[in-house]
Amino acid sequence: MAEIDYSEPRIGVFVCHCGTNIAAIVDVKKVVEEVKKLPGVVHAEDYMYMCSGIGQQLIINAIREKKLNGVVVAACTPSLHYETFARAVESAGLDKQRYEIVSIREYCSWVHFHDRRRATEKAVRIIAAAVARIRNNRVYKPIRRRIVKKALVIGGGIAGMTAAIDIANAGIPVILVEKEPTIGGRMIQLSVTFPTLDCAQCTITPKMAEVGKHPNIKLYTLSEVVDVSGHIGNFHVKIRKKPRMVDIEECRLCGWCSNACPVEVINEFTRGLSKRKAIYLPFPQAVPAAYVIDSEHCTRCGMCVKVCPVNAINLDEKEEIIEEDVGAIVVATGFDLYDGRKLPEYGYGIYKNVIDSLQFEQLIVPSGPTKGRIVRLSDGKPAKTVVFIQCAGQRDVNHLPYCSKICCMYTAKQALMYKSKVPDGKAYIFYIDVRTAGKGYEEFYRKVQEIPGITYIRGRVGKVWEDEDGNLIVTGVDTLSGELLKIKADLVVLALGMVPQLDRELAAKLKISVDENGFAQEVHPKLKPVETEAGGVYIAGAVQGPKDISESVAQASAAASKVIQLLSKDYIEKDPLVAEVDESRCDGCGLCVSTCPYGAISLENGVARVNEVACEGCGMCAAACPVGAIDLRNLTEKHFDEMIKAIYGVKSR
Amino acid sequence: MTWEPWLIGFLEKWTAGLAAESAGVNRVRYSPNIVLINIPCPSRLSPVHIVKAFLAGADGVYIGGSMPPANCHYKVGNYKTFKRMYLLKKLMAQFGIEPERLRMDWYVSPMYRALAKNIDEFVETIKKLGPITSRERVDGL
Ligand SMILES: Cc1cc2nc3c(=O)[nH]c(=O)nc-3n(C[C@H](O)[C@H](O)[C@H](O)COP(=O)(O)OP(=O)(O)OC[C@H]3O[C@@H](n4cnc5c(N)ncnc54)[C@H](O)[C@@H]3O)c2cc1C
Repeated sequence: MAEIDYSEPRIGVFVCHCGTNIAAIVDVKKVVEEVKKLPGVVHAEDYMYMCSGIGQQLIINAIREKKLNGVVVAACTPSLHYETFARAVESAGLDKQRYEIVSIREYCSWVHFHDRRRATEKAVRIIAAAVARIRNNRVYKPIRRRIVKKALVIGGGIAGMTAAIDIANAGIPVILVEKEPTIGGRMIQLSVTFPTLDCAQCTITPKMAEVGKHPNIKLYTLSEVVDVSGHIGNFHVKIRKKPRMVDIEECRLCGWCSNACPVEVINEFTRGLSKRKAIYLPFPQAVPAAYVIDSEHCTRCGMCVKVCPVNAINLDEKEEIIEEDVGAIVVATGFDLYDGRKLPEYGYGIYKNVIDSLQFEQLIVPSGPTKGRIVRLSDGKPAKTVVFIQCAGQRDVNHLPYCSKICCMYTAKQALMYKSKVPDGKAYIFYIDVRTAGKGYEEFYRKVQEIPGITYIRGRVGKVWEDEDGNLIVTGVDTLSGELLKIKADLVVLALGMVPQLDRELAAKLKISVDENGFAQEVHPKLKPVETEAGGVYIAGAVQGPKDISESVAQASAAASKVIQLLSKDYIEKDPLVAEVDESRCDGCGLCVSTCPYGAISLENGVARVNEVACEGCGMCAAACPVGAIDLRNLTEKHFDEMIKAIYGVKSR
Repeated sequence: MTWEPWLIGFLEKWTAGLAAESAGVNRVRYSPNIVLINIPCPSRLSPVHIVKAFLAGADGVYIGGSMPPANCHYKVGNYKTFKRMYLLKKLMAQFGIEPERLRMDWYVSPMYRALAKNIDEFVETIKKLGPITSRERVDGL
């Protein structure tokens, strides 16, 4: 391939119609005509779908035939197709630093559909700025960084465990961080799982055991990630590990400690349906298989220490900060249920017999707090009538605007399980729509719907209250018949929506963004569903959006495969767009040194020196330098000057 | 033809830039009279860039940065930007440019509706202010 000559700018502009997405609003022919007049532009053309094979070939041919040394693609957003065109221009021998994609779709046609003339003019201005920028871009050698062949998975639910096992099986060491004393996530709290009705514990416990004994997986429970620095291929993380106070290796699970412990607290595993001690085993199959002290409630009385036959307990154990270097991160922190107390009309948190869907799961589990008997929590009497309220706090602008997608299925499952345990019981299910898309799901729902004693009622519940005899009274409207309904019930079960379990602070540390509802944001819902804006950080499971188990598992394996792809390389090429010092101008004042948030600049022999690997390319130093001696590569003073001039050089008509 | 303003906006690509993208995906319409440029961090901008933009013909300059305290991609870029631009706004009046012609807002990526609303508001403000009367005074700075 002929070497490209970068001396005089020869820029090609490629304007995409995106079908009609752009062309229906922006007059692309006019745009082409206008951009041809821009300084440095020697070629401009438009095409229906620039991202298609033919579209890319147009670019490649033009680079070769017109001897282009710069390319501007005006199309959709860089997050969608930057890489597509980067590969195309590089295949024609042009360095991608002399290519840019600017959005005239998200940034123009899709938001200015009301004004064709201005949208067209704006598109020209956007392209003019990009041309000015590319004209001044220099080609720098890429900076190579070593990749740390180790991965971090945050969250030990089914998604996190699956990702960890997949990565570990590829021979890559994994660190799995779980904030609870055991892995398992929400799935371990479930009874059976739709649509196959296999027991949740039987499916998940072998996975948990596999994680526990996998030679490539290092598990930190009671732990949270408190700091993340670095970048794709090379992150440095700090993990805070709360004291367990029980030695995992020594504990023999005899349970004497728990018997001796005088402190009783609410058991979060059963969602408050039972009590546990301050030293406890979360549940029999917990991994790691060891008791744990709840340091918040423990009174340090020392009773457990006295009875432990193997001296496994150490009440003086302190919190630890563990530091690890990893090359990639998977975030799988899962979900929580929406807070039912925000729905006072349903009486959650007011009446004992109004419970949430996870509590109902616990009532079904044979080893659960009621040994699998479905009873009124107020007095332990058998529950002969159960009302299920679907979409509780969901699809409601005052609560959660979205649909959590799995509740129709789990409510059908719960009604079925209820009938199998209480054959003469009655189940009423209030729904708005029943949504059961999924393999085998509709069939499952049909089956449940036909069971005598299970009644589906289309409508919303207005209010739930308790009468003098401790029965719940549910009032609502059947919107199909228009009838007002009043049902006397023993239990009311709320299908509360799924909310993400991802605090903003952790998201900010990981540099990933969240959507309007707080779920982790993928780069592209269709094409990059597990990638995040932060390179090297991937997402899996319910933290990205409401999901059932099969979807969580599929996404976890997808995230794992991305991690494996990344960590199978030895080096990663870093963007060379870092700060650069003009030594002849630098007077060594050191202002940049103190400005840099990464400590990437130092003074050597009286002039500033940039550590290219540490520099993140923000440009803070360039704006601070009083003599203009430090600049950001390819976003220099000259770039700004010319971009601004180009935007205002375009004539309005 | 009657005068219409053309503004320039610099968006922090990790937050405000994504918000602008979401505005597109959600078809939230806003005034076209602003050209938005994504940059890694607004802390790259020095007051000189802003002044130069006014000189080159900008009727207003917009900066969309990341919401403090924790969302800055570069730890402290938002604070740095705020301090610099705050000082610049104090100076602007002295050379005859209304400080309202420079506006900063802070974002996290889901705030696309806010972005559209803020831009519309800003364009309206500039329309009310009218064109910059004398750019020579700026030049003399
Ligand atoms: C009532 C109910 C019934 C259901 N029934 C079914 C069913 O029958 N079939 C089906 O397919 N699906 C069912 N589901 C859905 C299923 O529970 C989810 O799809 C699945 O649990 C999602 O797995 P996950 O790993 O993404 O999240 P989770 O299970 O929530 O796991 C996340 C893990 O991350 C940990 N974590 C959170 N934050 C942090 C942090 N900052 N640091 C470290 N660790 C952290 C949590 O402690 C947890 O262990 C049901 C859900 C509900 C609510």
